[in-house]
Amino acid sequence: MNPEEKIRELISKSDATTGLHADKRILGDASELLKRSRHKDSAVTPPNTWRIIMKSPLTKLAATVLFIITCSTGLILWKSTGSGVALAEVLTRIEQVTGYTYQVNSIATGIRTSTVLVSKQDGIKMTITKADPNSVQSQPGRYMVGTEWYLLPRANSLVVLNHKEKTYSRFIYDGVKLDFYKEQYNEPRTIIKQILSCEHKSLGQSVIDGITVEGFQTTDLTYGGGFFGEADRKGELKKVDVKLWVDVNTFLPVRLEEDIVPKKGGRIYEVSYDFRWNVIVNPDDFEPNIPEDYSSKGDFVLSPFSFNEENAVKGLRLFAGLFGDYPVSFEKGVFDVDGKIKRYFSDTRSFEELSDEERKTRKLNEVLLLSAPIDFYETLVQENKDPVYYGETVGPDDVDKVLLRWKKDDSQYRVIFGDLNTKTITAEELAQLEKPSPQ
Amino acid sequence: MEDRLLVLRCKRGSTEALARVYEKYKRDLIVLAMALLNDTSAAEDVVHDVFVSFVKSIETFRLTGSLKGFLLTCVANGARNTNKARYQQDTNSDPPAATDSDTDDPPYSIICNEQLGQLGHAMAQLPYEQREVIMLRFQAGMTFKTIARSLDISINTAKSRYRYGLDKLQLLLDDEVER
Repeated sequence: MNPEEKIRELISKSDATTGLHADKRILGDASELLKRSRHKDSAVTPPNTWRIIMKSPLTKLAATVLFIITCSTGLILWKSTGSGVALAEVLTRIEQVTGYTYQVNSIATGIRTSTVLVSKQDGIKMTITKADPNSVQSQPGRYMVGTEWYLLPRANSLVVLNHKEKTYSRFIYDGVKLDFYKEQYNEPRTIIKQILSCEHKSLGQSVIDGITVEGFQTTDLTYGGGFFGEADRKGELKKVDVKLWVDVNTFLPVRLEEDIVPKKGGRIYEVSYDFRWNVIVNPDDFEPNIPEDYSSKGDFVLSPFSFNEENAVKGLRLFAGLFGDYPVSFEKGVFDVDGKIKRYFSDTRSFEELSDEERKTRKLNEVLLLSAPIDFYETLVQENKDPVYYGETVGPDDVDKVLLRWKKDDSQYRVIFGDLNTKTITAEELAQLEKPSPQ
Repeated sequence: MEDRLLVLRCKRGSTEALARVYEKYKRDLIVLAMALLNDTSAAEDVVHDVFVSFVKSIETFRLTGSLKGFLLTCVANGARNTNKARYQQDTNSDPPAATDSDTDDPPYSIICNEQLGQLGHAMAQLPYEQREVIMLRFQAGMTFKTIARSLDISINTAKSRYRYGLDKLQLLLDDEVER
């Protein structure tokens, strides 16, 4: 054994343990100092609603990231519909299943097939294949594996492999417990909640692949499903036709068809089928299989924000700081209608002192903060707090003008003014403030 | 990746994250401090000061490399300061050989295994500069370039300290085996 090996071995065998006294002293002092030096605003409470972000036509990467945060949408969409008893039972049955797979065929911007594997314990794996536009005409059925998504609840992270680029990205969500394995877009549980939240009707019984099924249909234009919540991101919808077929014996879904036409054009047509319930899931299937020649696009630690007044103000301040004004509207598809967030995100000139990974992380977190006001607004809408947003006419210089207001209680309103100061005022005072100014 | 998340959480005031950092790296830090100082009390003091300083600077702290590497470098710096202070106190100028302060320690302080005792004892007989380079190389896994930069010496100096130290250490350990 040469000297280096000998020393290395000795060091590797060297060990020390700390007793109570040392632990208490070292960690105790450091912890005490940390407690004293930190103020409490750092504690991020989980968002009570993670809905709206996908409505914004943000960049592909940001959308990839933000998709995750929208996962609990079902919770706020849950409204009793009176007629949804059977569907609610379907939901209960699915909750009892530990693992399942299904296929989704989609025709949106192109032809896409996704294979989804869901495990309550280990997460979700999606393999998305796209039709090769150069060959699908001449060789129907030729598909390319596009991306692989691993949603890993234990690591609170999302890993995305892009097979075309031979790259992968890892997103870690800090401060928010991602419950995405329970609430996933276009995942049957979420779809059922979506249907339950909409006006829907029974289609009676039919037979699919020899299985007796009962159908449910919604044509409600407020439907927000589609793979990755696509319908929700397309703005207002012109047509919705969603049919879910459920096995009358097992109460588990057999087929789901979604036909959605957005007002601004295009069409989303998706069929989910080949559901296999209670399959045995191997935990290794959820271990991202990253080929050696793939390069990392970065590890991004993201900190979603709670949807509250404070973060709404912070988000509006950031928006005004970056773009000189406030978002014109919080409505579907309008938030970044002129693409300035998208351009800002792609602009590599800002934060030049940071590495590429750090810059992207910083910008992604800024995108999350920029979305905080819309999330907050959407929460207010859901809670029937009568919110009104005046971003189209009120700017940062309008000190006394109401930018956003909502009902606090029967007689009081909370107001965010143009200069982002906040105040609680009476309904009468609000009426005065909102009175149109004389021409 | 976990380290970056831990640092982020520490920045937000999470004592759980701080505890995780401590549990994760305390062994490495103590082994390094012990090898450099051969004194359990002094080693505990250095690791204590490193954690307190880490928390003090957490708001502006940016993790650019590995957290373990950063903490080990801090321990090496702290141990160097301790060593300098010892020199100043000790007019005989020789670095203290194996200070057995275990007997004065509280009953539940740092407890070293036999190999660490042996390592500390042997290391204590090397000039401090050589100990430092050897431990940063072996324990922190640093390159000579990184060691040179962190100690503000040339790469050749780092290499020669390492080589001389290693040769001497070899002799010391062989002697011990023979005895």
